[in-house]
Formats: sequence, C-alpha cells, structure tokens
Amino acid sequence: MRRAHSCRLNDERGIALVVAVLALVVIGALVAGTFFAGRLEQRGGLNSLFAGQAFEAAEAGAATTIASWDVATFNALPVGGDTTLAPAGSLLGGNVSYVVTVNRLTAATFLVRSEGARVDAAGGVLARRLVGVLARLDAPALDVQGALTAGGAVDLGSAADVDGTDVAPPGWAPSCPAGGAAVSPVRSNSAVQVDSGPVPPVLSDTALGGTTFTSFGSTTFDAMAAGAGVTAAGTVTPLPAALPAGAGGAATCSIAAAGNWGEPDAGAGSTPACVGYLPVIYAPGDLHFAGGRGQGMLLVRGDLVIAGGARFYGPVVVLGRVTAGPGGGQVFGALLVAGKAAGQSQLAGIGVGYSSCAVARALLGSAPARPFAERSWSLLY
Amino acid sequence: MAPHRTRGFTLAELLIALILLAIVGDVVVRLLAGSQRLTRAQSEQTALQASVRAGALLVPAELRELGTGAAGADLLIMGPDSITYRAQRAVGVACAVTATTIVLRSALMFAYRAPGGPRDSVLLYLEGNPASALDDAWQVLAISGAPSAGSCPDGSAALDLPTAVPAGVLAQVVTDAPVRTFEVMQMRLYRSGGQYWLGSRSVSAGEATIQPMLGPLKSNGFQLDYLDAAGAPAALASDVRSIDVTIRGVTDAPVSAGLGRLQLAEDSLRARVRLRNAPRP
Repeated sequence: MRRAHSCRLNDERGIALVVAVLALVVIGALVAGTFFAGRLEQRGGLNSLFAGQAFEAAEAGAATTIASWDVATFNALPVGGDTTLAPAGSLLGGNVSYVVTVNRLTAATFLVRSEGARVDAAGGVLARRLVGVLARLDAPALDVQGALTAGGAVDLGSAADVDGTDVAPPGWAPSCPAGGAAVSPVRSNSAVQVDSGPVPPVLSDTALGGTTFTSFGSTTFDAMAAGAGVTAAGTVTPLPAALPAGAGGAATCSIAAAGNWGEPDAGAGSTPACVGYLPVIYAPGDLHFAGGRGQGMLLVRGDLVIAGGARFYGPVVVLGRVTAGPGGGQVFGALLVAGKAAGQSQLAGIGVGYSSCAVARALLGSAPARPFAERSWSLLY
Repeated sequence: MAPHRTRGFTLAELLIALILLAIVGDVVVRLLAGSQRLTRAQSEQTALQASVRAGALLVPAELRELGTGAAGADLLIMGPDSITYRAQRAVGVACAVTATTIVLRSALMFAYRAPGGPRDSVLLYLEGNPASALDDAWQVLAISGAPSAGSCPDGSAALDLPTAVPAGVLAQVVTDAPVRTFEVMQMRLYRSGGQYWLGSRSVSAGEATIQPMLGPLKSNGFQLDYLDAAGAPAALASDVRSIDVTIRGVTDAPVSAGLGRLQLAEDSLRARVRLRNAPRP
C-alpha cells in the first residue's frame, strides 16, 4: 500500500507550474514592452525639450547682447577682431546657459554668435544650439553738407577758419582715409559775416530748419541725449584716462572717469587705451569747453563756448549758439549750430575742418547695433 | 488486487482534464494574441508620435530662416500643402571678391554642407555707406561650379566659390562682407503606395523625384497657413511673417481600437514658425 501511494504522488505532476511560468513570461514581456515603448517615447520627448531649451537660450543670448549693446567694448573692436563674453547661466535654475561671441566683420557690421546649452545636474551637455545674428551699427544720419551748418547768423574770423575739404584729422591717417567729396565751408539760412577777408563760399539753404539739428534719421537729438554715455555741464577740460594694466594685461580706458571724452591723439603723451572710445557727450545746458581734447559726438542743448585751444574730433551739434573764448579751439569733423533768433554765433578763433572719416568714425563709434533689416538671423547648428 | 485499480484514468477524469486543458489553452492563446496586438499597437503609436514630432521639428527648422526683401521673397510658391522656397544653407563672410570668385573665410563659415553650383546660389551683402543702413542690400549671384580650397589675402584658409560678379556690384563690396547661400527647395504632401507622405526635392539641383521625409500622413496631413504680422491670412509672400505648420499622421497599419475593432490611429501637432528674416520695421 505504501509503495502504491508513493507511485501515485509521483504521477501527479500536472501542468500548473508550466502554465504559471508561461503566464508570468507573457505578462513580463508585456510589461517590459510597454515600459520600453514608454521609455523610448519619454527619451524622444526629453531630447526635443532639451534641444528646444538650448535653442531658446541661444536666441536669448543673441537678443540680449544686441539689445544691451556694449558700445565701449564692441565698437572698439578692430575690424576682424572678436570678443567672447562670460557665459550667462542663470536661466532655468542654471541648467541652461549661453555663451556669446561677437565678431567685427567690417567697420559697420558684426556677427553675433550665441551658443545655447542645456546641461544635466552633473554639468554634462544634453543639447547645444548655435544661433548667429548679423548686426550693423545704427548710426544717426546727420545731414552734413557743410563744415559749418548754421541755422542763424554767424560771425567768422576769416574764411580760413572753415574748410569744406575732406581731410583726415592730424595723426589719423592712414586708418582714416581722406579725399572724399568736399562739402561747402558754410551751409546757412542766414547772413554770414566775416571779420577780415572775403566771405567763404556759402551754401544757402532756406530749408535749413529745426529738424536738421534734432532729427537724425532713425534717431533724434533727444533720444541720443537720453542714451549719452557722458553728461557734461559748466566748465570742462576733458582729458582721456586709463585704468592701470592688470597682471599680464593691457591698460583699459576708464570710461567712468569724469572728463574722459576719449583719446584722439596718437604718440607720446597720448592714452592709447582710449583711442577706440568715442562717446556721445551731452550737455543739458550751456557748456564751456575750456581746453583739453575729446572725440565722439558732442550734443549741447544750450550755448557752447570753445576756449583754451580745446580740440574735438567728430560732429558737434549745438541747439543754441557757439562762441569762441580766449584761446579758441578746433573742431575736426563738422559743426552744426541751430542758433537763436536774437544774436549771432561768434566763431572767430574757432577752426572747423570737415572730415567725413571723423564724422563716420564718431557716429559708428557711439552707435548701438541692430540686426540687419533683411536676412540677419541664422541657425548655425 | 489494488494495484490494478490505480493504473490509468477513468473516462470522466480524461474528459475533465481535456476540458481544463482546452480552457487553459484558450486563455493562453488569447493572452498571447492580445499581447501581440498590444505590442504592435504600441510600436505603431510610438512610430506615429515620433514621425509627427519629427515633422513639427524639421519643417519649422527648414522654414524659420525664410526672409523677404529687396532681393526677393524666399517664399517662391505658397500652397496649402506644398511650399517652394529658398532654403538657407550657409552663412559666412567673403574675405575677397573678384569678378569670377567669391572667397569665403573658412574660420567664419557655417554650413550644412559645402556650397556648390548650380544647386546653390549666393546672397552677397552690399554695405554701401557704412554710416547709413538705408543703402544696404543683398545681391543674388549664381554659383557656377564646384567650390575649391583657397586662401584669403591674409593667408588664412578659405573656400573659393566660382561665380560672376558684375562690375557694379564689385565696386560696392567691402572685405569680410556677409554672405549667405541658399538652395531652392520644394516640400509637399504626396501619395505613394496608397499612403500620403511628406517629401522634399531640390528644385535648383534639378531633382525630379520627391524624396520622403516622414509619414505616413492623413490625406490632409501637411497643412500650411500663411499669416501676416497681425496673424491674419496673408495672400502675398511679402506679407508673410509666420507660418502655421500642421502635421497629421496615421499609423502604418491598423491597430486595435478595442472590442476587436482595428483601425488606423491618428495623431497631430501644430507649430507656428515666426520667420526670423522677415523685414524689420
């Protein structure tokens, strides 16, 4: 009996275990397949998300750089030069960052490259995108048709004080080409008086009016005054100033220094670090320019007195009158004087020499950049 | 005598065993078939979503750089399910330009591939007066052959593009003027093998056959809506400021829709592409 019972137990193996294992395998495969497909979909979606975040970061970098154009740094770059800005990584909790490189292509055009990156917590790069924007300096369009543009009566010392021949300022050649089209020595809508000698050729322009001195193409006197890098008042004697060179570095122009209007001179006694600094200087009232030197664009809402052998390189726009003080001075570029209904500008002792290069360099040197009007944007990778 | 009674099964036992086996077998077969259908459906759904997502990425990336302006609109033919356009292919600077060659500086060359004619053409930037943007322009020039290695006047590596530059243009070119290259492409919905696909071909390269990009799609699976600056439909290419791209995909084969029904699954995505190079105010 015991043996027979033992045999029966051995014969009762059945298929339950096999079925259970099979069911487990099928269910396992089902779950694994679902998980794999879901994981694949999730990875695909995440990759798209990371690529999108890197792209948006790159766009943000380019847009921010152009919107907050660093005139002192970018406009001072030599043609062919470039600079890379410190990475900005404050977006999305630090996981998204951009690095911007600015190349100066020509005197007026730049290529702004912005590489956006999405990184993981360990700093590994998950996605990169590089956006390029072609930008050009948005220089104000000054209506310069005379070395001196006078909106009211003017009194010149002699005809030699104003010269419409296009010449480079002393020491600016050969980087500043001369020989462009000459302009009239004087363009005026009023009488021009000369203390001695003949009256210089005058371009009589009755259409000369307020907008000549306040509207400059895409910008205005007020807009430029609002964005001016330097504000001047009272009596000033501007001189360039540089910060001392750091270890292994070169001296940099101290643009925050009071009375620093850039360096127009070269050679001994000059401040080379400020040669590329051409600020917009704004005087909200009267200004007494008593000696010293500067370059850029000078905007004076009141009257301007030039004295003490002061020298300025670039366009000067005065909404009031201009008067020469003791020692007089010199303007290399162009002088635009709106004048006043009563009284005349007394320029005897002030030399005005037209220089298209000085005007263009000043306008470009102080101009912000804007994307090209056409075809500025590109996805570089 | 007991051992004789324990050998074999009774008829009832056999019947019960067979019935149980049939039930278990049926369950297993159903389970396997369901598993197979589910796996296939998941695979089809994944492929469908990947296809639609790829379309929503690829098409905007291709159209985003389109521009308009004095050198002509990049939108050449606007259709509801097709578009012919100038696809931007490279950006760089010309370190030298002669009457027969544009020399592209390699260090500032960004391209999907080396440009060459007649597939590609050049847009050359004419700066004019540096102090004024009013006279700036892009000049379209044909590339007449294959590029070759060259060098810039400063000795750096360059790529020479054979072309013909008119004297009037040559006089306006400045060193390191920006350059773009483009290729005329067509992208459209087409039918092949009973299914709809999104495909593209290079018109400027003379390609006659359209190459598939993604699919299968619905019969209205590629839809383009051209919008002006106010978001209203634009009839003229010069007015287009953005394009709504809609991709509607279907699965390659019918998948289970429950209750034993099989049908094609659908999915769609819409993306609005702002044309980055449309004229700025």
